[in-house]
Amino acid sequence: MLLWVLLGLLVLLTVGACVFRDLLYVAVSLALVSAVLAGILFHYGANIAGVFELSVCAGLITVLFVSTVGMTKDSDQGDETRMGRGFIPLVLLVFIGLDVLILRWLGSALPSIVPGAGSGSFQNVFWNLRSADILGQVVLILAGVFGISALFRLKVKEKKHE
Amino acid sequence: MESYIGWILLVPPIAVLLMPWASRLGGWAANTLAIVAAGLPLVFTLRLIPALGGGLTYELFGAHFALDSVSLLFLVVVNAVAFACMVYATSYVAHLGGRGKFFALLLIMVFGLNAMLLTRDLFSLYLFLEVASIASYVLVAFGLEQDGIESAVKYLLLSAVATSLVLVGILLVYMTAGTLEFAALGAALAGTGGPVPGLLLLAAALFIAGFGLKAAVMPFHAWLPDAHPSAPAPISAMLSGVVIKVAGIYALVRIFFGILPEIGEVRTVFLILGTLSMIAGAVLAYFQSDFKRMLAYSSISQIGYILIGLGLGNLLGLVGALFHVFNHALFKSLLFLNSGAVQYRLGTRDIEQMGGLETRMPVTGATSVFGTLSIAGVPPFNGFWSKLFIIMGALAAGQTAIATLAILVSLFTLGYFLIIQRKVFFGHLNEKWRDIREAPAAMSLAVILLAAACLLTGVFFHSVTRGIVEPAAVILMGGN
Repeated sequence: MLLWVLLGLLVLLTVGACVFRDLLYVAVSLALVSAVLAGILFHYGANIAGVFELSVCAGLITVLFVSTVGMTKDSDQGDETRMGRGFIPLVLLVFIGLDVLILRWLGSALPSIVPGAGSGSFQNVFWNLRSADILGQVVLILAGVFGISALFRLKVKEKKHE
Repeated sequence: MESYIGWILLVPPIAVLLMPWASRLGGWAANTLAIVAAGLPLVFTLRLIPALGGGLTYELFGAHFALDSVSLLFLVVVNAVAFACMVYATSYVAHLGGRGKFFALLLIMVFGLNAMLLTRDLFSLYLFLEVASIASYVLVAFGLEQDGIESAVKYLLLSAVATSLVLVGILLVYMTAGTLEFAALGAALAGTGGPVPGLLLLAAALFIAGFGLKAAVMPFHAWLPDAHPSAPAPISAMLSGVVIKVAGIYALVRIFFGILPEIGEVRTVFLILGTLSMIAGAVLAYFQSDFKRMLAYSSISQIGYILIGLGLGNLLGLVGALFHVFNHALFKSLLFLNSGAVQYRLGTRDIEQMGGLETRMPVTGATSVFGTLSIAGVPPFNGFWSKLFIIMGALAAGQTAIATLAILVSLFTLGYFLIIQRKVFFGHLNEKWRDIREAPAAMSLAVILLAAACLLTGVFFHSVTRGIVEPAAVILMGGN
């Protein structure tokens, strides 16, 4: 029951993040999505993933997001939504229907995960088995830093090509 | 020699870390660092060709990477095109500003693609795909124009759908096999003669949709005609020439020819989607008046040829498909860089406003003819041979209708590219462009290198196919 409540909250908050027009509400909604997702991860016993989700996604990223929104708030308050009011609820209903069908099917069809898969201490998995991913994540952070600094740079004045 | 694998991976991120300091020293330092950082992986890759043998492995900070003939072929493609684009960008990026940031992001994209090719783990492949993709989104919007930003958002949203599908597919594979390492997966999922489990069929469908979206295969192509034209020219060249192939085709090849057990229906799906992409991409390209948008649609058509080659199920088709990956990377990058040179000087991409530019931009005009003849499959240019192999493979597989359609689409491609050539480079010079000059030297050098590669790959096609294409096809046919 708790799981279904959490999943329902997850869907509602995700939709909220898509439909809110104030970016601060969007940021808060996304933070709550991460918090609920962390709850789901705890529910399944994935405690380390839950802690990461809570601390990095709900915490750190939200701080960065809210700071960025604070810096750019004046320029993006325009009313840009052009979709009909009935469009998003319709899409939401279709997706919920599909989700229910898929989850019911998966619930009956999924075998249990192969025994022994993913075994080992956190340190062993993190530093030995998945060390290639650490390299990838380091470069991913670099991509984020350079990406943000590139998109927030001052646009050069149009200059004639020589 | 194994250490070269480490250098191929490490040189771009090291250069990214040094780039802010180089930028402070001046444009010359950033240019030099960028060209060296793009050139060294190409040199190391070329040095690995004769040393490859049965494959090489390398451990970097405890992470395992491996190189075989399939990875090597795609590594050559990525690093050759990236080097040409970097040379071109040293001049091109001047009007965009943010030189160091542009180079850094381009190098991160190259790192992501190279790491995708060298990893032997399905989740790491997904992660490195994300690295390359995030750099790509920003680079598409790098000009900070409205259409670029809008295209980047569209690209990001559709890519998020693609990677979500891929991630669920990976989850299903992991639930079935309990590992994500390629060799172990291949062994764990090897067909036992019985029906393929439903979960793996679902995973296969998710991979086709997810990586098909990355490869812009019809009907998953909607993002490409917006993203590729709006991006700065070197990024358009990288996206069309390299990214859709590594993020889409390479991943499909690795999964369906090495990891998942034989699923006969997948080949049929490849043939259907390939034929659809080949025809529809060419027809839609014909109706475009935007130079780069036309090239983007033409990429969809050429990806169709590659998928057809993969779906034929014989060595000839596979050699043709892999050789077309190589060739398309060269001539499509060339054509995008040419279109970028024209836009750089004219400030427009509208073909109807052009005309007679060959007299003002002779290098761009001449190399564009090379690109046109290559993409249309005119001998002795490289596109002729790869299309010929695919058509012969189709005939050998008894797919006469597809072979006939491939020939007709090739003729149609020649037709609309000749029209473009006439409208842009030949005919009367539009008075507006009387004072236009050739593109800067670095941009001209890059297109000359790619044009020469198109011709030389065609003339010496036997050496290229024997050296790097056939070994890759043989590995895939063996399923290793």
